[in-house]
Amino acid sequence: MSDTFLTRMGDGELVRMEAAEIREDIRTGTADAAERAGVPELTQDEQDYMFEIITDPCRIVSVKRGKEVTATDDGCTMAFYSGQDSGGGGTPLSRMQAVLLYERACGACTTNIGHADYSIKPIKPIIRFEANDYYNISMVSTAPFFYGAQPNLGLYFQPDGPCVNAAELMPLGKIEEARRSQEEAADYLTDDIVYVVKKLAEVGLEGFNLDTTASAGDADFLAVLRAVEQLKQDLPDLPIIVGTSGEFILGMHGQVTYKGKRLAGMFPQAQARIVEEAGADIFGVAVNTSTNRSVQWNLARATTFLKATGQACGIPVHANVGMGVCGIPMMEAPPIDSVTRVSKTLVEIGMADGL
Amino acid sequence: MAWMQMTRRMKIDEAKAYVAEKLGIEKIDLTNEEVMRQIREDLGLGTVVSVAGSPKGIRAKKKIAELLGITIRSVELFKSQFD
Repeated sequence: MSDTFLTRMGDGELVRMEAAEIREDIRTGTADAAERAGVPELTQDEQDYMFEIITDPCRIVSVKRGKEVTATDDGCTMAFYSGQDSGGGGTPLSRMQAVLLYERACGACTTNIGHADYSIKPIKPIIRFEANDYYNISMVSTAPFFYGAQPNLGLYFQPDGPCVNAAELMPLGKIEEARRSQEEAADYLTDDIVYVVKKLAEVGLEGFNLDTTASAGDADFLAVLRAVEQLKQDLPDLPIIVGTSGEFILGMHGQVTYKGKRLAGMFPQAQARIVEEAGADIFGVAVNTSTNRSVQWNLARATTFLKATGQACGIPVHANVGMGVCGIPMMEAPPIDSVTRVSKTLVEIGMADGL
Repeated sequence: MAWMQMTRRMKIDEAKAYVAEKLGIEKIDLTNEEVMRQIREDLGLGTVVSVAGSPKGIRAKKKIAELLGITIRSVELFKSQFD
């Protein structure tokens, strides 16, 4: 038993594994990412250091002194007052109180608010309400204060939106019709992102976080890239974060391009380069956690993608470490042992500029 | 550091070096509470523990923007409302 260690699976289950099994998971995890994205595997020294981090006897681990990084978030303040569907504690607080508590009691590097649905489309009808809240909070908060939203192209398809549902057209073999519908939806989405951000910019918006980009595939990603380009032309001093929803851009359309590059199939290093080209200031890497593989397998994979991404672009790269992303187990309350091991590894080996 | 990443696209090491130089301290002290507590109060950058009468919120952000030589859009709006 002396050569076994407690670790977790991607669904959070606490398991005991032998050292050789942990080392093998790290090796196969990095090999999987390297092969998929065409990037280098983690070196043997990096794999050995990751083994040390995973098997550290302390429940909580930390980065070495001097390796601290900043953190951005996608609606963490909502976790104070929202309910289970947003991972929230249900505390009866206003948005302003939540932001100030997050900033002053939790010591947050940056703060953020967003619509309860956290999507662009529903913000439009209540943009003046959102602008008022944003303005009021920005006057009393000290840390960088973002407004955030997911592009969520899916809301533009029937029955929720105006466009014929591409997911219903494709099984019928109507591929061209599905593509046209996605292009139409992407046009609506680009317009809505620009509209919402410009309205918030009128009240002193300090930064916008486009989170979970490309969750509906390549057309979703295209809409975001076009919006960022337009916003940076019109508002060059507005900081923009673009975070993605997975390590691979799904080709739901398959043919859309941005600046001559096909978006479908892009891995994080290519995603970061094109996001930088569009004009964004920070890129957020997302790598999906496989629930039936170990934390170390998922983490080795995420770290491999992340390290290559930071080397491929000139803008800061933040690793997305919410539940089920970049090696964090996919569960309601991610365990602190996994969260801190993932954070330390992504920063010290993956060279993340932030989380 | 977050302000420098947002406004100047600085990677973390560059951001730390820039802010440390502006504050006149070593990078290692950026996370040293014993050093940063007094610097924050002296420069009016906002303190974690609330000091009555010292700048917080937009007034602290105005000082942060001036110290770092960056544009913070909420501060620009705030300043324009005094004209």
